Amino acid sequence: MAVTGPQWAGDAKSGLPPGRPADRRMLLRNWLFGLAVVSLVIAVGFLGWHLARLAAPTVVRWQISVIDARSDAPPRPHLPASPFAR
Amino acid sequence: MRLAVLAVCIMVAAAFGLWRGWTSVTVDPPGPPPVCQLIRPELFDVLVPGHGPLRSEGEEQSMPGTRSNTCLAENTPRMDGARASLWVALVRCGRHDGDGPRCIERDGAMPTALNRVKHRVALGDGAGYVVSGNPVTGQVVNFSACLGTYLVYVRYEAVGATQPATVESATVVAEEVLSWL
Repeated sequence: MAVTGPQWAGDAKSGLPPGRPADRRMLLRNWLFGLAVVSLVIAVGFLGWHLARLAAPTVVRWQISVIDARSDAPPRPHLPASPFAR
Repeated sequence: MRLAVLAVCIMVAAAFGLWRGWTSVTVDPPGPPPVCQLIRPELFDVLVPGHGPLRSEGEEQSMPGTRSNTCLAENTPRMDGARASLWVALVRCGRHDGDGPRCIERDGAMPTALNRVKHRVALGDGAGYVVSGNPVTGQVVNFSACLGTYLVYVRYEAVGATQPATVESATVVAEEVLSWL
């Protein structure tokens, strides 16, 4: 029976001993990518927050005009009798 | 794969930012018309006989995200003890604290009172009133009605009038204001 060794031994990347410059560069690149992603996500969230606040007055005024245009006011009532005369 | 995850993260962040900004923003609406001018003088004469000059107030008391004005008519007690006071507020709703401009959906638009029966009335988008006091010391009706982005609040106090008459009077005032909007 031939001894083939563990499965991971055939993988060149995972077989690299830690601490080699190429591995550290890859690790640094991954960290920088993660940092960039987190920064981008925070920046986009902040931008969205600002955008919502900037657009809100226009949107709310549009909402108000639409809501009031769809409201049916009741007819004007008749003058009531004096409440003190009953 | 990485780009797909990045795109999803960015979309979620943008949606969260938009939602947070939208729910926390306060927007004042355009001001409502002066409520004193929306009530016929004859109505004041009937409900508050012999009243003095109408007293209107501007927007000093407006809550954040709303604009309002008020109108007050009062008379002095007659010989038979009859007395009346009518205070009307017209509020227009904007946006504040996550509440939108639709009056009926806002917290606190309808009258609330502990240990009092809240009566509902079919007027506008929703209306209701609470009665307090008694015929001797004075019936007080607090009436609220919503129509679109408007809230009409009527406080009618009458000494020497029956409760049904007081309620009907407050209802007519709210209906009168809503009819102009």
